[in-house]
Amino acid sequence: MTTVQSRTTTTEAQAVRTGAQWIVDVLAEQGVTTVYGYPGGAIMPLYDALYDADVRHVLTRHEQGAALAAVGHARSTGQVGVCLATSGPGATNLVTGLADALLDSVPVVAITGQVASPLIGTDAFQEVDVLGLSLACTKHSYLVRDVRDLPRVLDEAFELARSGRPGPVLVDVAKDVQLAPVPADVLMARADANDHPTAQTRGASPAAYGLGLEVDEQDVAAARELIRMARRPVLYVGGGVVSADATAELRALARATGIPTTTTAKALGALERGAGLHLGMLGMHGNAAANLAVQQADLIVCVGARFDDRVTGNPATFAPGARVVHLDVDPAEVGKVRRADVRLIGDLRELLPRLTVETDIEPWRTRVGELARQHGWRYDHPGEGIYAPALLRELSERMPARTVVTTDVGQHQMWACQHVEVDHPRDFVTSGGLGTMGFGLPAAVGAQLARPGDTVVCISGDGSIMMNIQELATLRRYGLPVKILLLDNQRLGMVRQWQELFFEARYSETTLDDNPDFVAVAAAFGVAGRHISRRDEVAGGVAELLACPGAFLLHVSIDAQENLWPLVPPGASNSDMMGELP
Amino acid sequence: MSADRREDTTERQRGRPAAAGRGATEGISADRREDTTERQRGRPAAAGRGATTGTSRSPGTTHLEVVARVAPELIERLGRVLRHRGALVERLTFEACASEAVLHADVRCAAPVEVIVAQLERLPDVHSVRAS
Ligand SMILES: Cc1ncc(C[n+]2csc(CCOP(=O)(O)OP(=O)(O)O)c2C)c(N)n1
Repeated sequence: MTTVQSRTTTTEAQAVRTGAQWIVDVLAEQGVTTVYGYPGGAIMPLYDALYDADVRHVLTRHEQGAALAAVGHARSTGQVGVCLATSGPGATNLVTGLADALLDSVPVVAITGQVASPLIGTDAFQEVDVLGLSLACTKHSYLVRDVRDLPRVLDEAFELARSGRPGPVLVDVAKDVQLAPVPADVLMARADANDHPTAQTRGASPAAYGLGLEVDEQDVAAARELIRMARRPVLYVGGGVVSADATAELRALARATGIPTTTTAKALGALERGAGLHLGMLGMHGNAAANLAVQQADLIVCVGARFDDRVTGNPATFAPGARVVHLDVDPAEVGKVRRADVRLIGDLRELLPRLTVETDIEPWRTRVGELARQHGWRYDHPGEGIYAPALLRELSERMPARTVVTTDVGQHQMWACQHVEVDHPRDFVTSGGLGTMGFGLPAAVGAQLARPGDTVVCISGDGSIMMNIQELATLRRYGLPVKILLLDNQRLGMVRQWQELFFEARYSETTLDDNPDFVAVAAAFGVAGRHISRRDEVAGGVAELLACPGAFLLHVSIDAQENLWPLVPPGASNSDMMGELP
Repeated sequence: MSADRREDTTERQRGRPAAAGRGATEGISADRREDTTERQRGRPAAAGRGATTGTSRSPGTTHLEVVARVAPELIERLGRVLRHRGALVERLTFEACASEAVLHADVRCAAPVEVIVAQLERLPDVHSVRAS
């Protein structure tokens, strides 16, 4: 009785809320403390509602920055990231960030303003079919043309973004819906419906919500048997472990079974550094030992990974002698690229502990240990110039515990994956699936706002940094102490390297010898900086970067011709790595 | 039904796609009679069932039946997944009522059909997918 009364009172109070105010209420209810966005005509009612709300709005200087900051926020914390934009160009600018979130399974809710309902379909000013645009770059999307639908849609959007395999959800809200009062009966019905699991009552897709994934006991038994019988097993770990928050369970399994481990870029940090037989990243630019161990394996236990082409090389030659046990929350990933001998669909936190069995793999562990020693990284390098891997190693060793590292895309990204070690997968935030140049700085903005007590370092390249350089203004506006490590080879280095190797050194449009003075650019935004170009400046430069209480840009000149090794050529087997293998 | 079959064969021979809509419509009307009870329960008639049985399906095609929550963009969503995942739609029928919609499609795909089914099942609006 009391419950009903208080619910009614709440509902009556809420009855006077407009759609825009309701959106803000839901953000608060969902525990969202910070949203990233950029205003405009069709979303003005929402910005008005935010004006005196408790939810903090962070103005980025481009909507792509807002979307990627939401991604950085979500990935460094596990919370849902939220971004806002107006109709038309605001929404189109979000698209790359949403695609990034889709390919890396990041929970993001994007709210866009749409022209008023009567104008939809008239080619009104700043009208674009945002729902149409969203189909290929979101997990799901909605256009709200009736305020009665708004509460349900917002609830679903948050639920969908974080459940099952997480992903971005877009809610496009017509301007008149933002202005209209939300009817009391709708809120009353919502209050009642909240007594039930929402997705189930709506009869929605179990796969999308990660529901009804009952594990077949026979499959678990079969997986255990394969692991017990294996003589050369490898745990191949992907971002699913991070989404499922199953790091502890993974580490326990690795410890208990002694199985050598390797991760994708998205799962770096999921295994403790230096613990057991962890071989680092595998794939196109993976550690040679990791690739060789996988190629020799007789069993691959794939945990929340998807046999991405950057991991497998030619999939027909990937781990040719191995059987596969594949664990994932998304049934669509299992068997998509590589047939699984045993498929375990479900929550990794529940599945992983069930795979602990006694193993008989000592000779294999010895062999893998040898591989790891034989192919360890070397940091000696001739000349006076700065060798990027050595600098990144220096950073890795000096940065405080729980530093969040974000990267851009290119050679510097892969060097960071190889040489920067973190202890927690939410501390390494890199654009994996989409490979989005321009990711690093806005992702660092989101990470820094989400984790104000932690150091945040953005490792970037001279090509990538220019793609969202405007976000230096966001650092200044909010006093964010993000540390930028800019590896400048005056080239679009990754593409230049491929041109050298695979296009007869015909360097088409990859030379950036007209870059701006980056320290001066930073200064113009109120960000301190320093330029270094000699190896004897590395220690001091890194120390200054990390010690600076505010934002800092360390501009590092490196050799334009430096290549990234190893490299599995496109279409080749992971056994055929090119490069100066140690 | 056999009349439909003859019609479709002729159009196919002219190098045009089978008149899915027409065949489907005729199919649906047959189904409509059959499915009154289902409709009364608030479900749309299984539109394509009529369409499929009423027309020929070329060898190598798979029939998909997708039941989903109604949304204005539902056809686009399903069509996009089919195209993007490599299924070529040869025939399509769709019917929606207030809450649920049924799509029937004959598709030809290079990828294993289970892959397409799994991708369709991931769509939040989709209740079920059947391949035959
Ligand atoms: C938005 C976007 N455009 C183009 C590319 C293709 N691309 C991949 S790496 C790369 C070069 C990156 O150059 P830079 O940021 O300077 O890094 P470097 O490779 O030199 O370390 C390019 C152009 C991309 N990944 N993203």
